[in-house]
Amino acid sequence: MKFLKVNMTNGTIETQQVSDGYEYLGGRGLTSIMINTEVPPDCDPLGPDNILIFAPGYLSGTPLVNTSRLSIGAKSPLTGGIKESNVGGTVSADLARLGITAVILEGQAQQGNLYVLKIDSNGDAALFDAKQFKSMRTYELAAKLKEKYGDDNSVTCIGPAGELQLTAASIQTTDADGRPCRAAGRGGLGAVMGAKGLKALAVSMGGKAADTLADAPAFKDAARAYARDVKADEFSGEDLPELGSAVLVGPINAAGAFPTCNAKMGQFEHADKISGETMAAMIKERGGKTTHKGCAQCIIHCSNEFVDPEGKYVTSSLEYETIWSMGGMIGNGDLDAIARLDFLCDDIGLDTISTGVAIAVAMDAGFKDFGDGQAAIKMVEDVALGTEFGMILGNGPAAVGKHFNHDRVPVVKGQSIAAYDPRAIQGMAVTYATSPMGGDHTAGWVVGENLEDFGGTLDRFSAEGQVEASRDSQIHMAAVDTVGICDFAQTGLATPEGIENVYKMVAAKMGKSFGQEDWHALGLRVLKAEREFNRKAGFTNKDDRLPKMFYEEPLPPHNKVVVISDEEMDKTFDF
Amino acid sequence: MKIRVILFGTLRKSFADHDPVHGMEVEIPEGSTVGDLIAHIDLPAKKFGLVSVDGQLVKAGNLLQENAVVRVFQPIFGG
Repeated sequence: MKFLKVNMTNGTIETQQVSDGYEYLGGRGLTSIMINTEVPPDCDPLGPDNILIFAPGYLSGTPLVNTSRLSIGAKSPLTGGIKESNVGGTVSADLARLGITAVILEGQAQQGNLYVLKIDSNGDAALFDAKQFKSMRTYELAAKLKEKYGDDNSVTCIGPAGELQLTAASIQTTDADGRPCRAAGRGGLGAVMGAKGLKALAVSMGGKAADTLADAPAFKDAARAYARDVKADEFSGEDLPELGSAVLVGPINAAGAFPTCNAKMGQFEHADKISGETMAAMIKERGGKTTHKGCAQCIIHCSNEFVDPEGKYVTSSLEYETIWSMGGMIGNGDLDAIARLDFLCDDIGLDTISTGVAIAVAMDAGFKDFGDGQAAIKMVEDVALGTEFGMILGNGPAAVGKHFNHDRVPVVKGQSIAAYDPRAIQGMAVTYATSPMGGDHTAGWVVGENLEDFGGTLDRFSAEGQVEASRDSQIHMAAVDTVGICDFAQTGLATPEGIENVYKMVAAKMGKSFGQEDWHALGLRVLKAEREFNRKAGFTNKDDRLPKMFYEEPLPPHNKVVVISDEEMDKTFDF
Repeated sequence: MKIRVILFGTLRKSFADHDPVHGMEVEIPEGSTVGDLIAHIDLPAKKFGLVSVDGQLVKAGNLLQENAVVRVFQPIFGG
C-alpha cells in the first residue's frame, strides 16, 4: 500500500504510505477524491498544477477474476471537469502486485523533454530520457520498450496524439499479448500525459507484494463463488466469448437506438454487415481469433483478433463502441475499414469514440460523404501527420463542429455520447446529461432496464422512472469502478447473492465489516466528490443538458425526442 | 401461417436448420402471438431478452402477421 509520487518538473520520485483520507480506496474512488482534494479546480488541465493518477481498482491484484482494471484520473482538457477513464490489459494487476496503490504524476517536464517511467520488480521507479521515442506510434513503442526492459513488462503509453496534447488523445496499454490495444480513451487523458512529458510507463509483471488480505480464506471462498456465477451466466459465459461486445449491434439496432449518420437515424441499413455475428464468422473464416484473453485474470475472453483476408493481424479487440463510432455513426458498413480505423486510433493514441463521432460531425457538415470508410482512414492519418485538419479532428467532435460552424454535435460537457441514442432509451439521456464525466455510457448504463425482459421494465420512451434508474446506476458504477471489477464481469454481481460476494471480498480485504449501505455510501462519496470538483471548476445545472438536436429532432424509426425535463434532470443528484 | 425467425448471438446454435442470414421458416397457426411463437420453437425464457418484428421491439402478447420477420436476441448486459 503505497503511493509513487513522480514530480515531472524536477524528476524526483517519492514513495509514500497511503495517507489519511485515502485508505480503503482504489480505482475511480481514489482518483476522483484525490483530484477533488488536491487539484486546483481552475487550473489549466495541460499545465503543471494538474495531476495525473494511475490507480488500480481496490480488488486488483487479489485472487478475484476480471479485476485488472486501471483507473486513470485528472482534470480533463476535453471537458474542463473531473475525469476518470478505466482500462483493462495487465497493468492494473501488475501495479497492484507490486503493492502500488497509485502512481501520481505532478508538475511538468521542461518543454521538449520526454520520459519513460520504469517500475521494477521491487516496486522501485526511475525516469529515463525518451527523446528517441518522440512522435513514435504505440505499437512500435511497445515493441521497443519490451525489447529494452523485457517481455515481462506492461507498457502504458501515449502516441503522437498525446504528445500533440490533442483532447481526443487516449492512453493505451498492453493486453495479455503485449499489444498496446487497450485504451483509456475518454476525456483526453493522453493529452495530460503528453503535457507532463511522460511517453510511457513500463511496469514489471509478477510482483509478490500485493496488499495483504485480512481474511484470505473468506476472500477466496467469495471469489470462487463469484467466478462460478460469471461463468454460468449466458452473456458472460457464452455470448461474449463467442461474439465479443459486438453482440450488442443486433439488439441495439433492432431497438432503433443505434445512432446512425451522426445520429440522424436510430437504425443502420447495413447493421447486419457489421454485427457481432458477421464479424465472428469473418474472423473464423480468415483464421483469426474470436475468443481471446485480453486482460490479466480474465475468464470471459470477450476480446478478439481481427485479421485481413490473408489472415494477417489487423487489430485487437474490435468492440461494440468502435464498431458503432467508426461504422453506423459514419454510415460505414465495411468491417475491414472499421478494423483499420480501430488499429490506427490505438496506434496514434486516439479515443475511438470521440474520433469516430468527430468524423461523423465532419461528414454531417459536408466535408466528406457518409459511408466513405477510406476518407475516414485518411482523416485519422491526418492526425498523426499533424495537418491543420488533423489537429482539429484530434480535438474531438466539438472542435470539428466549431470549425465547420455546424451545430449537430452530440456531446455533453464537450465529450461525445456513445452507442445508445438517448431518444430511444430515455434513461441514457439522464446518464449522458448528468454524469460528472460528460457524455459517458459506462457511468450509468440503463439499457437493460429499458430494453430487457421482453420489452423492458421501464417505458423507454417515457420519463417515468428514468432519473431514479440512472441515479441508482451511477451510484453503483462509481462503486464498481472503485473496486475495479470489469463491466462485463458484473454478471457475477447481478443477483443479491452475487453482490453479497463483492461485499464479502471488500470486507475480507479491509478487515472490517462492509455491506450494502457501505457500498451505496462509497458510490455516493465518489459522485459527490466529482460533482463538487465540477462545481468549483465552474459547472452549473445548465451543463447537465443534452445538445438541442436530441430535444428537437425526432429519431427514426420511432420518431421520439428526449422528454426528460430540465427539472427532472436536476433531481438526479438530489441527495 | 409462415413466419421467418432470425436468431442472434449464440441462440442459433441450438437450431441446425438456421441460416445465418435468412434464419429459419416456422409454420404456426393464424392468430398466434409472439409468445406462442417462442413456445413453439421451444426457446427457454432465460435464453432470450429482446424480440423485434419488422424492426419494432415487441412483447409476448403482440399478434403476428403472415410472413413477419421476427428477430430474437439474447439478453444483453454491458457498458
